Amino acid sequence: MSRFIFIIAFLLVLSVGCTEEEVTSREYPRVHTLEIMPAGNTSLKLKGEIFFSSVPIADHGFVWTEVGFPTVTNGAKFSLGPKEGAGIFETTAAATLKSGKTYAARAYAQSAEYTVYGELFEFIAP
Amino acid sequence: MKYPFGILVLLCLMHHNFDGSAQGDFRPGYIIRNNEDSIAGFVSYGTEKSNTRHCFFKEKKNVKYTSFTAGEIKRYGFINDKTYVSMTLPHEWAGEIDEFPQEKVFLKSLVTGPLGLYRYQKYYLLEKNGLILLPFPTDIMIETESDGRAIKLDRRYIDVINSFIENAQLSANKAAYSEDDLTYLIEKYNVSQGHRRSIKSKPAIALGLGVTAGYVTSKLTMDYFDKGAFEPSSTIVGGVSLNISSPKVYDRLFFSVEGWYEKIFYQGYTEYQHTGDLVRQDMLIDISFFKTTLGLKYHLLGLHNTPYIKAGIAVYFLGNTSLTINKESQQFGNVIVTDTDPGENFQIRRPAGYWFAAGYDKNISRAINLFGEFRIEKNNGFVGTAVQSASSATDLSFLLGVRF
Repeated sequence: MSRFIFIIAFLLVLSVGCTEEEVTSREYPRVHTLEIMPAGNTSLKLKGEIFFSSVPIADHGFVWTEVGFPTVTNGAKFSLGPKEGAGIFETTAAATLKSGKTYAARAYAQSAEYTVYGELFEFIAP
Repeated sequence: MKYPFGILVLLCLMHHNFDGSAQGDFRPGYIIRNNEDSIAGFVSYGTEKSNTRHCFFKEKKNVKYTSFTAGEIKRYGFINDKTYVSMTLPHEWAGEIDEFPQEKVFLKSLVTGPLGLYRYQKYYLLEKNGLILLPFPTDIMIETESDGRAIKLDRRYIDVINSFIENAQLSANKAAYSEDDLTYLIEKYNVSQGHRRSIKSKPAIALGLGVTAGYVTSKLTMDYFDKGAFEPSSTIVGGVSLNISSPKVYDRLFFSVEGWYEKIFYQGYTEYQHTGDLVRQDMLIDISFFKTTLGLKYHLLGLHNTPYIKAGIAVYFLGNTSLTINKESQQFGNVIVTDTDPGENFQIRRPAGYWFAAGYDKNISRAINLFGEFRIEKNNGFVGTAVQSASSATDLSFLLGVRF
């Protein structure tokens, strides 16, 4: 009997789970920039992720600029429009890039109240 | 609620399991009745004093024991260990032995052969055509001499032994009035008389291998983060253990070495103001490591079926590690800027810790023990700057294992 109880206890120990990453909530969508890659001088391969969203997303997409920090108002923008819920988004956008110049780009998402930018990526146009 | 419930169930199981067997240190042994019938079973290991008065015996592990006096059985013993023989001490020793027993008592048989040696509590007895008491040495004998005081040891027991062993060119002059010294000397004498050793002595070193699995919950606190910034993190661990003891010296104390593999994930959150921005920061720490613990283990009630305590240190060897900080700065106009970096000014550091444990060891067969153990460990976390630790952690573990 005691052996049986020990085996049950052993299996119980093995059955409990491990702590895994939990996305903490915000009142705005949370965005990662995953990939920014020039495809020649005329287009950009872009990939981002909205990894949390508790509000409707009015617009999402990518912004880039030759100098400073790109925003939805100061540089080039590729909008993918409204989005429902979290998830990865990617596209290839037409762009006019100057060879050898350094650009900065990032993903963005907008809710009714917030504009959220993902991490800033820099690249040199080929 | 999932984990606390699981732990509660485990506690109930462990309590149920241990409660029925926590009746002392019963070890495989036997009794021989006065009619020479021998019965195998389990005998309470007891103390030297209690073993001379009673024998607590049960035929099976999970039944109530029976108490026998020396008048009721002829002999009892433990497998590959000591034996006790029922005898009546001569009345003329009444003045020599404290609390002289009028009835039969159990004498611990230390050596058998041409010259026998027994122990009764703190007294030793030779057997050669009858029992001979080795006089217990009085503390010291003091003689006053003209130039002061001199100390002279009580040699009466030495003279008695010498009178029996001098024919073998042996001497008891350097033998202390102790079990080890007297056993060694009398065995040596018997061997010189052509007698083979009759009692198997306990080994000088004993090794016990084990495997362990368990559940660990760890609470990390970090400088620059609020105390509750990190939620307790939990994980499953598995490892091996090695217990080293010296049964010849003391069979309840063990040097314990353990090694286990662990993979744990910590996540913390904090907020602060920086140049007018509200910064929300998540710290993600993902670590795998091999941990070695070194410690001492003490069995409280005997060799088996006993609670035990352990304490020691923990040394860590890091495997794969990652430290990520997701930072979101809320700027004017409800603009949020995300910045992820691999730890900024922090880095993963190798911690060191100390721990204390309490558990229960249960013998399920001659060579297999099961054990359950709760352990608390304090260590200096995994995170720090280039020059010093900036964190600390408290780990609570519940471990189950099998030892061979």
